[in-house]
Amino acid sequence: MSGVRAPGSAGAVRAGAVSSTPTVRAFFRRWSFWVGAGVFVLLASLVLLLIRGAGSTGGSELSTTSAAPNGAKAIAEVLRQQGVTVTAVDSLDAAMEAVRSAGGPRTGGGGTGGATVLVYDPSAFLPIDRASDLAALGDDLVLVEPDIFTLDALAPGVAVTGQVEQPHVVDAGCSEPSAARAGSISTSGSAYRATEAGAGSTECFGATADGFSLVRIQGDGSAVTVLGASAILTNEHTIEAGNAALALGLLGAHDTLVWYTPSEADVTASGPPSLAALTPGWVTPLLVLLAVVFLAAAVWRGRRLGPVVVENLPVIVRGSETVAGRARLYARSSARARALDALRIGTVTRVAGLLGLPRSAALPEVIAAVTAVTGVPAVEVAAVLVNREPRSEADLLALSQQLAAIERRVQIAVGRAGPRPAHPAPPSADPDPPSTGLPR
Amino acid sequence: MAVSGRFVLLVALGALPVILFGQAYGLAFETLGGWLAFAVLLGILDLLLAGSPRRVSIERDLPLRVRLGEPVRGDLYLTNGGRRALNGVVRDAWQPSAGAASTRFPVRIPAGERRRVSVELCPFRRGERRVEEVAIRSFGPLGLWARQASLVAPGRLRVLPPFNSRRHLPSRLARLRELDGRTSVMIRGQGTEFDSLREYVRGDDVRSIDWRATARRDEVVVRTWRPERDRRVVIVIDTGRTSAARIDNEPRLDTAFESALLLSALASRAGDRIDLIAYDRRVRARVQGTTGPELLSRMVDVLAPVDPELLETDWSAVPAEVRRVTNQRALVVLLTSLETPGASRGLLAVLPQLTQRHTVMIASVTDPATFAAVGLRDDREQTYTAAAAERALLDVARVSAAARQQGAEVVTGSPADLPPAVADRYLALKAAGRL
Repeated sequence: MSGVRAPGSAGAVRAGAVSSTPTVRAFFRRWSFWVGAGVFVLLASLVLLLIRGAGSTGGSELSTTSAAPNGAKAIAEVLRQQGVTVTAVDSLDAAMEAVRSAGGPRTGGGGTGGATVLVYDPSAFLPIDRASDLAALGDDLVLVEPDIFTLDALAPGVAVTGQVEQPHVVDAGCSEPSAARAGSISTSGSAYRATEAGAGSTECFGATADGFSLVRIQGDGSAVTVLGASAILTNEHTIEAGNAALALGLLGAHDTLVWYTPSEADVTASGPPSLAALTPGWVTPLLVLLAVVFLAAAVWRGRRLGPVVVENLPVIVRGSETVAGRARLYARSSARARALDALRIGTVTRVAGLLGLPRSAALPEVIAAVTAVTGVPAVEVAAVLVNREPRSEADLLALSQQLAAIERRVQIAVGRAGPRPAHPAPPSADPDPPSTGLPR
Repeated sequence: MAVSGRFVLLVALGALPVILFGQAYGLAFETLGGWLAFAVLLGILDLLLAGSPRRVSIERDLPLRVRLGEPVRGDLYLTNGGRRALNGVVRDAWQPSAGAASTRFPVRIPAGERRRVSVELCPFRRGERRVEEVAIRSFGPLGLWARQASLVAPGRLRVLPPFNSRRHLPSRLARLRELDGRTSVMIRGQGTEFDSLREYVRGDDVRSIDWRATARRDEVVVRTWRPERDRRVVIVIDTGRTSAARIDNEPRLDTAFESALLLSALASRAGDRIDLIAYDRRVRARVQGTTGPELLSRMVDVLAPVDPELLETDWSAVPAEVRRVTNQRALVVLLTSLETPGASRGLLAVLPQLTQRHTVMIASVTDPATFAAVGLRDDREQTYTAAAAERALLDVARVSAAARQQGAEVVTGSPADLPPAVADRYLALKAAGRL
């Protein structure tokens, strides 16, 4: 502990006076704009979603709630206004329930009781294997563009003949009352014909050469109508020709209309149970809990205690960097002559200093002095100090070591040898440079 | 706001009821929702019952100055002005280089009471070390959630240069006393400044006999001399980019500070007046007109916050700065670096202006690693390094020779040797009467 205590440094900070962390109120005041903007954007997108969603509810084809061009809301609404109860169902069980609640099948033949059942199954979800249930559906079935399997199950006397290539308007051409009332319809979709010609079957609206858009088979107390032109029920096309009249005539025969569009609910699962069915019900909640634990742990470890403290640090430049850099440059370009030059100049300067020669001494004088002191032949000394050229890296290494050896021999001869390596000492306080290079 | 590990554990414990109720009654999702709501409710309750960190008032008790490398204790007095007890963690946010052993302390302050928190500091960098804020995290009684606030409580600690070279001072002062003639043997002082006349005694140098005074009296009279006093010493510290280089893990600038401090301590005892300028492109620090014991303390204080600037030093303005300090002849000590002719061109260009009027001493740090590298020649890489080191030494020798040619004294040395070398050269100049 040292130093002087600051007399004025013990200034009390008043309670609650200065805090750099904003209070909750201050935070909201400061960020009110952005918080408001965020809430606004959220609300706006919600409202937009609701509006857009309302416009396109039930985008599926021939849905009684869809106002889209391919929906069937118009027909359903008109039927409702005429006192027909329209029930939209999407499973066979619900359809049977609806038929039962409407008074059950086989209660009246073409009277006011009972129910008309419209079956529209573009995705082939209809459970054909539940034949008895299907048979109980009702005594007035309207099949809209059925495929051959549906025909087999519900209308065995009708076959598909093909597609209607070009939508066009055709006349009824039959005595079926609702068809006759309609007069003509704009036909499209598929065409059908009755395979067993007889009193019970009626074919109307010849759409193709051998097919008809409407085939009605009248059994004992029950009737099946196959409608190939599904377009006449859509909002878009129902106003054309006699489309609406035909649709209303077909579907409005009874007090109740069950609008059955088979869905996934009719598909019964088979095969081994899936992984989801085998896992216990608490696995998903447990995973959610673990995610929450992870989040909480992240907040626990990640929340800083106060802001990060910043500090300007000085640059660190090592003083030996220039030497190291120059050495690497020499090595990379194999600048042997230049490197050896530097080594020779250094050695000569130091040796001249050791031998007491003046700074201006010429090289031959130095060589002669070295020879005189160490006894090494002058030619050899001259070769090491000047003449020999380094032809390879090995040469350079050898020469540099010979230079060091000469320096050391001179030191020994002059009696100023240091412990081992011939470290030149820092020139330090010596006023004259030739005296560099002596270990003291 | 912050949460604790306890809260995380509480949430994790929810796994048990989720599995149990999920297995037994199939109420896994309901249990999950209930547990999370329970945990959050507990947390909110805890938060509401926590003592307010904003109601804490803070006082600091901190020394003003400390020498680099010496430990120091900073006290923090926390007074809880709120109505509830505060139980939590306090962080004193010191800068990293203040060298705090620990900055986080658990505290428990009952309402209306005061507690002390002591921070052990051992700064490892010279200059101004600061603390701006104190962060307090206050947990509720359950220890689940915490309130947190940062309070402004500034403090600063000036870390002074260490002045390690003061160990060289006693021996240099002894040498100074010898010069001054005040040694116990009382030999007549050497020096160049006329002191007084006295009667000749045998053993006196006959060359110092004052014949004119002898003629006026009956006896032989000699002049006595003493070292010069009241000379001016102007120390110019180069804070430019070359002073940032680290040699022996000490920036050149710090070595320059050591040299300047030792020289000032010595010269002020010798009765000279010392002025100091730290300069690169503008004056970074200036000590002028201070004498006596106040000089050193003022010097360390002024130099403490000076850092190397990454600028090329503008030598052309230095003579003017020196002139502003004194018009008399003075010893101008330039603490800079002599490395390569290119880097020293600016200095060499203005040197004649200085040497004309003043005695100039240039002190430069040399790298002992360079001298060591010259002797190592065992493989290719070492040989090239030795060559590069040799080349660097040649450069230094050339620049030094050029400076000497222009009349400047050059002192070089390793970081450990330079301060005493500068002091020795000062003594030598003083003895020779060249101040």
